[in-house]
Amino acid sequence: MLSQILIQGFLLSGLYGLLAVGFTMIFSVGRVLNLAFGANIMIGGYVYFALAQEAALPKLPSFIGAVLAGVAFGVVTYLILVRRFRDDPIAVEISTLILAVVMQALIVMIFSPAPRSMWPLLPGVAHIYGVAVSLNIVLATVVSWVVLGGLLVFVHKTHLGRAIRAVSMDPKGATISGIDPRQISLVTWGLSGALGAMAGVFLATYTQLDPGMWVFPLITAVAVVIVGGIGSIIGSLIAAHIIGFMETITTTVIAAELRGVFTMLLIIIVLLVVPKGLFGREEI
Amino acid sequence: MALLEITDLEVFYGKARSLHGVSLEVGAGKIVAIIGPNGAGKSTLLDSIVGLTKRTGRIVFDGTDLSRMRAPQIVSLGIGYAPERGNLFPFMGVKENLLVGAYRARKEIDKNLRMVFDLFPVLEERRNQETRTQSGGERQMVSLGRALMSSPKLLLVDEPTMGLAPRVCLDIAAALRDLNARLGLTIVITEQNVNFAMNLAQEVYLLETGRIRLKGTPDELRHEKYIVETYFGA
Repeated sequence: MLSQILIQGFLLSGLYGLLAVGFTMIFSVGRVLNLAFGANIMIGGYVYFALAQEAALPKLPSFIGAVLAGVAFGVVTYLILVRRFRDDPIAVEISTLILAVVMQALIVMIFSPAPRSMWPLLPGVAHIYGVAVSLNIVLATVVSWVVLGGLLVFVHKTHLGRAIRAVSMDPKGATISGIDPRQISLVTWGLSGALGAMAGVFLATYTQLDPGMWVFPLITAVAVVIVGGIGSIIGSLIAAHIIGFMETITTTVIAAELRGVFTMLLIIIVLLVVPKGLFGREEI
Repeated sequence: MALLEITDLEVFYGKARSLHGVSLEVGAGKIVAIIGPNGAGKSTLLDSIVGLTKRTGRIVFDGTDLSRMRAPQIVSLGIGYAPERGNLFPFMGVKENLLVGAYRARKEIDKNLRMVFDLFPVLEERRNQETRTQSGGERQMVSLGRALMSSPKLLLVDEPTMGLAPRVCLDIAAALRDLNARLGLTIVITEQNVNFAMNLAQEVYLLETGRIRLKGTPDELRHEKYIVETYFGA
């Protein structure tokens, strides 16, 4: 049972890391919560489904198409909605939540409300230390970690990545260094959209495609960034592991139905004891 | 020839007017000081030059009208700004802070980094230290260094001695003099410390309640009755 918990927990944490980092980047740079992040997840899943299963395109181009759809959705959301409300975080949060609901309705109109089964990205089962794990989940975890590793290198080692961190720490300091925070926000919304869509493809192949599939991942992303500390990539990654392992232990040892309950309890405890999160610092 | 010309600058924060028709000129290669009490509008004036406020009037830098330009474009024209609070990136090390300053001058990173480290050797020793853990004096040096990383023709420095020990103030003054004398850098500083400003600058403006009240050379203003009574307490 221990090896099952370790392996499943590690696999789940990679996916949660992808969700949380995509979500926290927006807050860190723009100081707003993007509640349409769930729509990115949904769009990723459905675009991949349309391309790979309905249009019968190969998996890799379909995956890239889904990620690009996520980028486009993030960028358009920023340009059309968020930029106009940039001085009003509440307006951004309400409007992005409404956008997510509208996108869900559109998805229902186009694809019907019925859940759809997705083919795995990689069929088959691997046995790791005696635990049977689908290759699809292993692939999702490996890709998630490669992407997250690449993202960490990007934000620490490139001028653009450093500019994103600079805006997240001090927008005025960044501006007088010649960085345009609006351009950085645009890049960040695009990146976040890509991460959300990628997570959407993985989640859909991990569970199933469903117009309501955006709600639980959004709650999970919020939970991870609250526990990790809003705005911190490293904090989010550590919190993703805490929550990923906690949910795996709950599912394996207690009852799968209680999985989300313990996550919510953890949020409340963290908010009461360390309101800034376990690794809270307002930067990427 | 004036490198910077400001004419009838007005700045409002909501309905409150912060600057009232401010006009001034800064000659190329000069050090100009804007002195005045807290709340006079000194920081607002520098913020306005780099496009951080909503303003009316005319600001011309090196022949280019800045009035409709945004801050990042203005910085890329060659204006470096070290604001009063530093506005550093607290969780980045010294070198990373400096590299952000080079965002618009990437081809000159090595040269400018060397220049900043030569000017403030302590920064090279502490290149990886996060700026949130540094002393006020070191943070001021990082702030100046970051502004210099953009290869500016004009350096704006807001209250460089605020809260610093006298020894550090002297170091900052020496660095600014060196930049002006050796590189011909034009510098505008704002200061409440009138002695510091008068010892450093070749021309001084007195700004009070958003208006230019007096201007002249340090020698002229040292004998101005209003300055003597108000700022030297004599």
